[in-house]
Order: sequence, then C-alpha cells, then structure tokens
Amino acid sequence: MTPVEAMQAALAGEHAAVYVYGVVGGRVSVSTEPDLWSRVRTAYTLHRGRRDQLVSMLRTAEAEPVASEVSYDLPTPATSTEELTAAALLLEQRCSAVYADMVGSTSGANRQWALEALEDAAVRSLSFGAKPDAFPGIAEL
Amino acid sequence: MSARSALPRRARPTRRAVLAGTAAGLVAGLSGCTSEHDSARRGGRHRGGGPDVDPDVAVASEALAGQRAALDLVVATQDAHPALRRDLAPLVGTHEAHVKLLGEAVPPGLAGGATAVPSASASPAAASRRSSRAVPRDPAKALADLVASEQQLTDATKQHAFVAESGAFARLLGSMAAAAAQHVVVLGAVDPSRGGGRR
Repeated sequence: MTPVEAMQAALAGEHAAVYVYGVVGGRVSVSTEPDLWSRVRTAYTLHRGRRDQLVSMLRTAEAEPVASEVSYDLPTPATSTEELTAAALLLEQRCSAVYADMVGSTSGANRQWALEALEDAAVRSLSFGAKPDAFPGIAEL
Repeated sequence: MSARSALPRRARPTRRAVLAGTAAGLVAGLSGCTSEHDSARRGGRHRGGGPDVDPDVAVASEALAGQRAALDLVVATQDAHPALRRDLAPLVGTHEAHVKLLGEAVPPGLAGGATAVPSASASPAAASRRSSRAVPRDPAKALADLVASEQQLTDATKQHAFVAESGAFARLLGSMAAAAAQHVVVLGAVDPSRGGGRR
C-alpha cells in the first residue's frame, strides 16, 4: 500500500465514522444517557477533525481526497443503548485497523500522526466496552 | 500492504534470523548481519546492537528490553499485592505476548535475543533492574508506578515505531504502543482499596 492509498483508506474510515457517530448521536438521549451522549459527541468531534486533517494531508501529497458515501450501513439496528455502543465500538476497532495500516505504509510526520490516531482509537474503544487487546488494530494476531 | 515481512527486505550476508511461533505469518524474517562479537561490541551505534546490526534488529532489541522491564514490574506488583493479581492479569498476558514476538525477532546472541539470558537471570543488569523496581506497599502508589511505567512504555514504543525502517515492523510496534496506552486507562479504573498488599 502506498502512503496515499493508506491515507485514503483512513479517510474513508473517517467518513464512515463521522456519518455513524452523527446517526448514533442523534439516537442517544441526552437526558437518559448523558454519559454515552457525551462520549459519542466527543468522538464525533474528534473524528470530524481527523477527517479534515486527512483531507489536508492528502492535498499536501497532491492527491484528490476520496469523497464520502451518501450513507453507510450501521452494523446493527442501532436503537438500544447496547446496539449504539456496539456500533461505536466497531467503528473504533475499524479505525484502529486502518491506522495500524497507515503506520506501516507511511513515514515521518504522517506515520507519527497515524501512531497517535491508532493510540486514540484503541483507548477510545475501551470507553465503548472493548477489552484490552494485546495487538490493537492487527486482526491477524 | 504486505504484512508478510516485518523486516527490511534487503538480505544481509551472514545471518538470517527467522521468526517463528506467533510471529509466523506476520513477521516472516528479521535479517540482520551480526557477528560472533556483537554482544561484546554493544554500545556502538545502537544500544543492544553493534554497528553491523540491521537497524530494525537494534530497535527490536530495545523494544524487547522495555517490554521485559514493564512485565517485571507488573509481576512484582502482583507478588506484592495479591489482591491486585486478577486486575493485572491482562497486562501480564499482553506483555508476555509482546516479549515472545520481539524475542523471536532478535537474533540469539544479541542482547535480549531469544536464547540470550532470560528476564529473571542473574546478570548484573537484570539484578539492578529488579532492585530498582521495588514495589510500594501502598497499593495506590504501586498502581501509580505501574501507570507511569505503561505511559513510558507507550511513548518509547511509539518512538520505536517511528524510527523502524520496515513498515510491517512499524505497524506491529504501533499496535504494541496502543496496547500499552490501553493499560494506562485500564489501570486508572482499578480500585486500589482492593489491593491490600503485604504489610
């Protein structure tokens, strides 16, 4: 995978994250689930920022950033608290995987950026119920 | 991206260390040019590797030393605070997996290599490391020491991932750093009052 391909894959992941967190955020009740609502809102803001950073990084690399899809399938019906939490967890695990790939496919500042993103996704997945993993983002281990 | 080889493709003439076990498939082979006297020539370009050692082998050697030190502290904390044993078990499992993988990446004979002195050896370095790792009797302080250890490991492992020449090896190290970062958060949720410790 070239550095640009890896960054495009990460951007595609962030487009999906922004979409799904937007949907999930709209379904979580701030009055009955203030803690989950807050975590989802924080995650949404963070992923949107990262999406914008990736767009900028790709333009710097003289590549045309991939556009988002019109919509994304949520991995579960995503209405109950458990389903919404599971959707967020799955997103963070997918983001961990694309950022681990990006670490391996880039160097210098872009690799450093991907390392921070991988760390954040791995830690954030804990807040959505993940168990600690010996190899976050690496499915084959 | 191929995840087959975590090591530089360029073949080195004198030695090829093949990674096995868990590493098989991901880390196909760590090739490094090492000589009979590598361990005697430590202190060259990299700690743990002489000037002829592949730079990624030196990185693996340093990362291995860090994982072993972190593992030693977790185990020592379990021994001093049996009530924390269960809470700390996942950390032991993760560090052991990392030590195993990295140990297979470091050629035998090189500092920290798989068949070099084991972690709990009588070597002066290991002994001084253990003695400097006294575990506080206060479980809250013991946990705080562990948090600091895992944070330090996170930062060091990210730096190793940053400098690794092989992309696949960098990916592996980045994942190990993320695992240590998870430990920092997990430890923060442990209730120290459950760890009575030895008084």
